Amino acid sequence: MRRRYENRIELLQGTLDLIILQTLQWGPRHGYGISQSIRTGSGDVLQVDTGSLYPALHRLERKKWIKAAWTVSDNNQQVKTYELTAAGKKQLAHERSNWDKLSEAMAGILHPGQQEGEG
Amino acid sequence: MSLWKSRKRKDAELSAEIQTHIEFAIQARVERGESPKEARTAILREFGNVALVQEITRETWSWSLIARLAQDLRNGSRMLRRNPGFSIVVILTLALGIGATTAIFSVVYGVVLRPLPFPEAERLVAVWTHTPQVDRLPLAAADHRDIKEQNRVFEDIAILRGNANYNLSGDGGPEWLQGSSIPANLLPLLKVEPALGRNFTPEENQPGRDHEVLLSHSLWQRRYGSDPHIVGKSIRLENVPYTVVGVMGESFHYPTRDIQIWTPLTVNPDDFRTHTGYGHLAVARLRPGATLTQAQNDLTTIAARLSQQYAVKQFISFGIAPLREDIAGSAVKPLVTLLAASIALLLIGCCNLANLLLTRTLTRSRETAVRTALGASHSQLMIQAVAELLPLLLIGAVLGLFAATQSIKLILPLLPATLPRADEISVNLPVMLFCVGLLVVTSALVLVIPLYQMRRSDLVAILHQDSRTSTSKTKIRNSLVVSQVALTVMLLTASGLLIRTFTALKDIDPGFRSSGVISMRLAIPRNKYKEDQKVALFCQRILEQVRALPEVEAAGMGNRLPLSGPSGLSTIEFERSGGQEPGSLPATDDTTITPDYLKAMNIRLVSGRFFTEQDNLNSPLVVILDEQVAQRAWPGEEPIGKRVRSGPSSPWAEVVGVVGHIRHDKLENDDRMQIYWNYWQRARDRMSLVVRTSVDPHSLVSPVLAAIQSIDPDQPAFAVRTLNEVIEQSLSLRWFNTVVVTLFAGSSLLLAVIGLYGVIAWNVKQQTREIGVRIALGAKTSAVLKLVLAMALKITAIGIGFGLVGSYVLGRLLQSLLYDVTKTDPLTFTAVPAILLLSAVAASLLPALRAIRVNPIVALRHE
Repeated sequence: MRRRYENRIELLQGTLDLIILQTLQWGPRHGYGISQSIRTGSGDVLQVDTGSLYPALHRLERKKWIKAAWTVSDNNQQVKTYELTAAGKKQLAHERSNWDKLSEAMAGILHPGQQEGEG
Repeated sequence: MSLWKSRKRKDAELSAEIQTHIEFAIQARVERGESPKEARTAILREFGNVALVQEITRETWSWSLIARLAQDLRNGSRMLRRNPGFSIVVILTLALGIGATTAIFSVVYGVVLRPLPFPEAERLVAVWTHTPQVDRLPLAAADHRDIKEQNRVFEDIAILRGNANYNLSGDGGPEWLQGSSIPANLLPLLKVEPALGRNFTPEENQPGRDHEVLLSHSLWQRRYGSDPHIVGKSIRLENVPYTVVGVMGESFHYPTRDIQIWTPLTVNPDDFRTHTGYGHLAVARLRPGATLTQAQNDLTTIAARLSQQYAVKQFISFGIAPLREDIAGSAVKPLVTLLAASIALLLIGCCNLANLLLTRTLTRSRETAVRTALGASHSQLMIQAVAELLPLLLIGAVLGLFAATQSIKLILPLLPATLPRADEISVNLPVMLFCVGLLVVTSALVLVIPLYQMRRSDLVAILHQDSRTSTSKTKIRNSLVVSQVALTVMLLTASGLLIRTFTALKDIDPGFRSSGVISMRLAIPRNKYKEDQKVALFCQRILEQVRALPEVEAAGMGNRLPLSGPSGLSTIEFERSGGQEPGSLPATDDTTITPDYLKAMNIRLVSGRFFTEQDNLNSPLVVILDEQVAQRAWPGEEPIGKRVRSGPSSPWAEVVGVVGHIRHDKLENDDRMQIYWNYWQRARDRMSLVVRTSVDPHSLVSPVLAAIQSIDPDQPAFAVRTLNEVIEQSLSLRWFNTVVVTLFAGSSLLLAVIGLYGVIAWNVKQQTREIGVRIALGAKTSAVLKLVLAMALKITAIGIGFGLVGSYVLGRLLQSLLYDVTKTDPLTFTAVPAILLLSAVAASLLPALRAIRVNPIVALRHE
């Protein structure tokens, strides 16, 4: 059964964290909601596996970047929702700027001509 | 407990969380028009293994260390069942190493380290006389008196006699008892009281008033059925009534463990006048706060004062040591050697285990890499690796402890009788703590390298499954085997040197010929043979009867056999030419003998003559010296006809013979000069009969016993042994030591061969592609064989090199246990490397065969 997880194409660990934090920027969400947001937000390109999502959520919770609460959903179901903390917001800003730097640098490497133009 | 609860709650929450996720997903599909049943099946397929998702998520909760550990331990025991070969090797190797080390430690602890069973035992010290000739000479009563009066460091000091032996008669038949004579102040000094009755009074230490006795606990139980009313009753020692004043406690075995009876110590008043009679053990209790150094300084001051006061004390000083060390005495070195050998064995086992684990880490490195990719931290992985092995290590240690307990039971009866405090050996709390400590250290040693490797493991390389990147592992493995070989060389060398020493000691010329001689001891009762001449006459009559037996070549008696316990030492004076004052020789070893004793023992006559039956009460006093006395007293002069005496008030005796020096006290060496007195002129009531024969000496036992009975049917004889057996018993601790070290060395050789095999097989596997290429290019079988052998021999040779250097250092530490073997004994130092090289060839046979059979096509496809 483990093979299923060994063979999947993985997001870099930090990337998944960034996406989750970004998704939670617009308010508390439960796990399924987060996975759906990522899916629709990326135009069905990124599909986050539950085997990655839940460990990531629990890890972020442990780092106190997000906090969890049990709430009641619209159809009266007990749901665990996650919410950004103050530290999480700071971390999100930090990781976003990192990501911007990284993507700029990647763009420079992958499309050298354009970078020259900018320089 | 609360940790456990919160963990359970968190588990339930996680299940609920995932359950709602699934519900939401189903709902979404249903909303898109699927049937609920179809939707559920699809989602569950999509979601995958719910349990696995939960497990992976749980792994991020590293706060629940204990829960995780429990989980890992469960995994570990599962691993154990799935991998029985690996598990058994780990468990057995560990059990062997830990078991051997714990067993030896329990002996070391009981004999050397365990506090003596007396209150505040750390303040107890042994005191002895030191002379330029003999380091540890017992104390003279006069010196004891002077030390007691003048010292400023002792609460009290007591002297006692270690060997006072008695024939016990009465109900239950005659029996010979090992006893000790003690003063009234000994028990208070040791802070011990009799379990029953009372201690001796100072008055009872007066000659003539000393017919009181204290019984040992075991004698009281065995012989008197633990009679609670024994105190006040009378028992017969030497056919004289003694009053039992008390029974000692079960754990009291002072000064040695075979003492069964204590009588009051009386000192010959002459000893105070002459300041000689070095025959007493001395024990003192330091004042609270007084140190050993202060005590030594104080004793040195007293000795200096005495040497100014008395001519006979001129060269004398006093030595001191903690009583515990003094009792352990010569047993310390052999036991520490054994402990070191067992630790070496354990280390060699650890090398094998580390190598095994390294292989396992590698085969599991893909799993490790995946876990890392999933976000497990290194520390988590390490904890997991440790926890998985913990059950194996624990089982190994428990098995080792069990083996130690069992082997102790097995060893105890085999331990040499000369080993002190053997009754205090057991697997007790400190021994168990030692065992736990061993487990911790061993686990750390075994795990450190695989864990280090795990830290450095290169994820990309591992996922590519490229085993060629593992050269660093090969290096570690090789160095582990090199250290194994080195340790094995050291153990084998130690064992070789000890075996060589033992054979050298067996071949030693002790100055007498031990084969073909039967010996037995006689305690002649003084109430029956009161006067000295009656004792001598009794001896003479026994000898006449024995000599008349067929096959008897010579028969004689001496009051002490060589190599059988402590001997009495005395000072002698010798006359000097030109009217000088007589010179004196302290610490000569004197023996009273019958004329044929020296002949029966085959002691060499250097000049003059042996005693004859004409030397008796009516003839002039005569004496026989060994060459050392003659040399020291009258260097370069003819000793025959010169005179010696035992003290200023004793009569002069004429030297009639000079004989060879023998190993009387110890087989290895004996610095004590020897002097022989005639049995008519200085009778002794403790005699040993020696009978030389050309046939098997055992066959003479019953005729000789019958001959003794024919003179006096009540006279018991005991300790019937051949002289060879006497020598063997004096070597028993060495024998034990040599056998155990050799056993350890053999086991370590076996472990090293297993280690070598494992590493050579690993190397061959690593080089399969290379070997395949060579074979494909036309390399001959012999070339492939050579390749493998060269590899094995290279590793072994490096190990031997280190081992020989280590052995050289070891030899210096072993020096004091060696006899007649240099610490660089050529035989040992060539045989040991040869054994290891041969073993290396044997260990590489299987891997070599595998290398020859390498199929080039398969090999080139190999990973």
